[in-house]
Amino acid sequence: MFIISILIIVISCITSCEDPVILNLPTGDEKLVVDGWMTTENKPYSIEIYKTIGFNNQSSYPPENNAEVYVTDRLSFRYDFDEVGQTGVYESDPLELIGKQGEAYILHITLSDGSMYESKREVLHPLSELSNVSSNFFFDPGLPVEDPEAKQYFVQGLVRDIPNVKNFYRWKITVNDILRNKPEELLLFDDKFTDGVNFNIRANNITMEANDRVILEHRSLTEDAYNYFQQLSAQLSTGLVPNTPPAIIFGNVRNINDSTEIVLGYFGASSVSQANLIINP
Amino acid sequence: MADWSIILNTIKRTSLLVFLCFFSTKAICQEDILERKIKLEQKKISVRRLLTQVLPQAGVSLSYNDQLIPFNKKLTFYQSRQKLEVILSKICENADLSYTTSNNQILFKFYDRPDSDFSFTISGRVRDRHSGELLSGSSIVASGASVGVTSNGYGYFSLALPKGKHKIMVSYLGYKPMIQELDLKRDMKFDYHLKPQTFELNDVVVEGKQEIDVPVESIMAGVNKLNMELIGDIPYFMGEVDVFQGSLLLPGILNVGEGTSGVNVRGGASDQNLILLDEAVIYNSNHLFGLVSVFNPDAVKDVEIYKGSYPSKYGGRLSSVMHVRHRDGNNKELHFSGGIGLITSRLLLEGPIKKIKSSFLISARSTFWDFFIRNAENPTIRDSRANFQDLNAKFNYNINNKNKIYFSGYIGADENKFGLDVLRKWGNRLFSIRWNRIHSDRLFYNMTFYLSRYRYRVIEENEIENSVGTSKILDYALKGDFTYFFKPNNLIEYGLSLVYHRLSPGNRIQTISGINNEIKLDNEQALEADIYIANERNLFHNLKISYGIRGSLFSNRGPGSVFQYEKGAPKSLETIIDTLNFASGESIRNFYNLQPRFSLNYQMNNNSSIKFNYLNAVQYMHLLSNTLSPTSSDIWQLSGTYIPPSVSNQVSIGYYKSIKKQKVEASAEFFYKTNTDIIDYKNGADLQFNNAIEKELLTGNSRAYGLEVFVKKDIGNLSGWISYTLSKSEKQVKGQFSGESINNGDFFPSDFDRTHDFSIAAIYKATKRWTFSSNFVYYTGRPYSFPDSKYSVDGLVVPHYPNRNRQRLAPYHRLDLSARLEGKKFNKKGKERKSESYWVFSIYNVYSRRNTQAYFFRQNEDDPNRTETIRYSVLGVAVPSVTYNFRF
Repeated sequence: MFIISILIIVISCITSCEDPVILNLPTGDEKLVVDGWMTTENKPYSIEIYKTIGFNNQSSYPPENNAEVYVTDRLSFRYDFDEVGQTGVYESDPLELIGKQGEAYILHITLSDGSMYESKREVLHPLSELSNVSSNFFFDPGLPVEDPEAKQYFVQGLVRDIPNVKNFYRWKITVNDILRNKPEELLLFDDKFTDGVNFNIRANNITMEANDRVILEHRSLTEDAYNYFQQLSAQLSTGLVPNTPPAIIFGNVRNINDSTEIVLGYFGASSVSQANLIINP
Repeated sequence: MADWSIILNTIKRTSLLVFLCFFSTKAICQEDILERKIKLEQKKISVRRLLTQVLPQAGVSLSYNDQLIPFNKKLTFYQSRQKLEVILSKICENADLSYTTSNNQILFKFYDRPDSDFSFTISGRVRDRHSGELLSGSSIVASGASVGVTSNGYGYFSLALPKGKHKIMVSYLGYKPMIQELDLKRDMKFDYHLKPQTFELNDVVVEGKQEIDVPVESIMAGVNKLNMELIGDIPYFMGEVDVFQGSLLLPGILNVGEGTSGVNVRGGASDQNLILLDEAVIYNSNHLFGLVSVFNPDAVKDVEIYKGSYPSKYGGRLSSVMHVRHRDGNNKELHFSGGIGLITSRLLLEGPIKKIKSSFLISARSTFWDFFIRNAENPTIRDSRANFQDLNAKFNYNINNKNKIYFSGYIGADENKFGLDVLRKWGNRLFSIRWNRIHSDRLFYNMTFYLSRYRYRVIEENEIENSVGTSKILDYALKGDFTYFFKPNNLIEYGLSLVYHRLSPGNRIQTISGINNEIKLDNEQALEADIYIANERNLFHNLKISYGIRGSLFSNRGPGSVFQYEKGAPKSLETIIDTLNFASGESIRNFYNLQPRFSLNYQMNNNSSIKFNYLNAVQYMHLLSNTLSPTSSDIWQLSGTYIPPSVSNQVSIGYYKSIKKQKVEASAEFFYKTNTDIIDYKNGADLQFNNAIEKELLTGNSRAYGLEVFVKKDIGNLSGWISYTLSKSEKQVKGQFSGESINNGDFFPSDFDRTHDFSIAAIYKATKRWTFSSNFVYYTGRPYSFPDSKYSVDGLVVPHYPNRNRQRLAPYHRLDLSARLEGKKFNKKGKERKSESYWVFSIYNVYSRRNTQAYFFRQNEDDPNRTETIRYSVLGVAVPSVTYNFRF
């Protein structure tokens, strides 16, 4: 996150402007995208496989149908993912596969044309305990304090970090059954400065109103996944200059026979715990 | 008969022998006596003492006519043992006198020395008549002899001339030139007091009024001098006069857009500028994210900018030298001045401590909106901060005619916090002592000691997360710069500098529920030692050359540890195979470099010249900044085991023309430069609190070339200039491993690539009280990366950028206007007021142009399934402002 100067904000509030434009953007070759996640939850996990489309193209992504998709664990046990209809979405069977902490998984894909892909080994790390989940608020700087809508609520919680290992986290927050998932609502943190201690995290980039129903998902990430999301976050932040230069965000899936092929997306594994909360005014 | 012939032969032989003997002994004797070393007890000895005491006591016999000998002449010797020959020629120098030797005796005799053989020195300082301020870079030209010199950074000059009549012209930009006629018969000292050029309506001749100087006589290409009093007249954003913003109107100098920090010179990154404040390096020259530079315009005397080549006395950065000199303070009377503006308010106090001998200057500047913020009702606003202050203090003392001491200090503090975010504080501190000495008429030197520190802190005040993170860099430096005015038109500059760098890349103390948790990255330290020597001389009367060399040693020293990585694999935590530990003072890695520099100036005629420059420069310190423009949290990095020094080579050639009658000055310069081993970053590089920073870095090369044109013209009360640059700046990053190359390792346009850059500025003095000015800029949009496709990860739409900087933003253009209203000079009774004041009204971006600063490729706010392109402009409207300034 970059320093945001009030001044620039004040000036931008008054003077800066954003307006939609139509740019004639180039359209590149289709690239394979693999987007899927495994957790410790008792539910089917889905892997979505499709092709990229031009940025200005508003239709849906062309799905990759009839692929052979499975995950292997450390002992090379194989767990199949089956396509749901003709959607390019492949799901696991919760009776067969539930993610285990400390286990490591590899995703394997064979497309209908025979090309084969494989992810890096993704370890499902244990999760530090989350406690004292509560709500807090600040005043919207743009509104007078008396305004009932001036109070901007957010959730916070205490993480008891597992000592002596590097831990990486992501919080996903659902408010009134809607996952808050804008780029600026990505919440990632690590224990670089807080290894082995209790530390408080405030999700003040996601604000809500009194009486909202909130589900806070506390997730562990691998270092690779954390770095991947950090890059996404840096690149998607449409904040003020200065920005990091854009670049190809490489995921963890590759073509077994062609290492030069760019495969996008990420196959990840997380331990998950949940906290439910209603915002008290 | 035979006997006779034998005798005769013998005599012949012996006489030949005797003759030879005699001759050779004579030769030996003569050599002996002139080669003899005489011991001198004092450095300065009068001729009388030499001839009546020193030499006779040393056993030298002398013969002379009292009337011929200049007994009262004092001679200076730099060695305590001198050859007699040297002593004798010094006695005869500049006198109708010569000597011969016979039989070990020295005989002085009359010699009608031609006038051209006499050489005398005029030396002294150039000052402002009213304030006594020293004027560096003024030109002192003897028109008859067509030789000249410029005063150095401390206003001092020395010019050796043949005996006879001369017309000396002393000029300085913004001042009325002064002409002095003199008949030179001995060494002379002058202090020239120039009168500032004032705008008088009836005064049709506005001669020598120069906002920005195009130097015809200076040897180097790509040198500009900004004079604050005069560039203060052009319009500025929110009326905030600033040296960096002003410099952007010069060719070859740019930034990456509105609201960004740093300036880029000829395709170089902003950390490649050597920014000096009164000889001391300043590490972060920005306040408020680059909106304002750290130099308080009230205190600035002048700014010297070298972008093509710079003298051997400067080193350590690749692209440019920007030397800001503060005023010394009026040494005649006390003055108090200040101003109130929308961004800052300023106060300055200056005056003599002891008239003529000693003066001081104190200036302070601060934003004042904190006053409103702190009293806001809304706690989010109340807890927010965005302010800065800075303070300059300067004091100088003339010990005597030859020695002068300066003390200067600078403290800057920025503070910034938005809502619940952490509080960030940063600032520079600078302290320097300088000692100027006029050692002799021809030797001037300056010794500087300085401390420069930049510190950045992140403070989390929230109870449970209480923590303070700090990074800083501290320099201790000692340097000596010597100027020796060797002969007419022959100048030698030499010197040395020693800098000890101490870097604390990261240190964070946290107190969580009573537990102290400290993270501290190892300090890094390095010693940078440089020596240089340069000679500037006339080869022919119209061809001047300057050549010099700077030798530098950079030693990265322990204590410290260096990770060893597996060979043939990218550097990462997994590929660390060993750690080398270095003890305190042990050298970790040393670099040596010789940096040659060369300049040539061919004066084609009185008003045009051609210049050629070659520059080699090395940079050992790198600012790690993976953003478009630097931020205050960026840390500096020393060259070491894995980070090589960057090297730059630049050639430039320029044509300069000045037509005095039409008041036109014009120049065209072409440059080509390459930089090797510049720093770049891996994708997603983590640069903060990283003890293995090398695994985030890549090295690359860059090249830049272009043409810069500058024309300045005065027409009556209207003056203005046009600057145009046509250039290309490219970069290449070719990594060793996959994913480490940018754009397949090909050259691609850098962020500072600007094909066309045009600006025009005009200042019109309409009446005695009103001055109007305007400037217009137009330039090619910055290179930008467009996505060629998109995909989604966990519901987030991600644009895919296949390449970097292959497209561009739309062209930028903007018009600014300003008007300056002088307060009434006379009160109602017709008496002259003691105080002066003026108002400046300005409008920035007059026609409300929405210049594109960025495109955002993102999901539609209302319909996340749709993607859209948003054009972002920092300014969408015209920004008016008003400032009030006073002085009494």
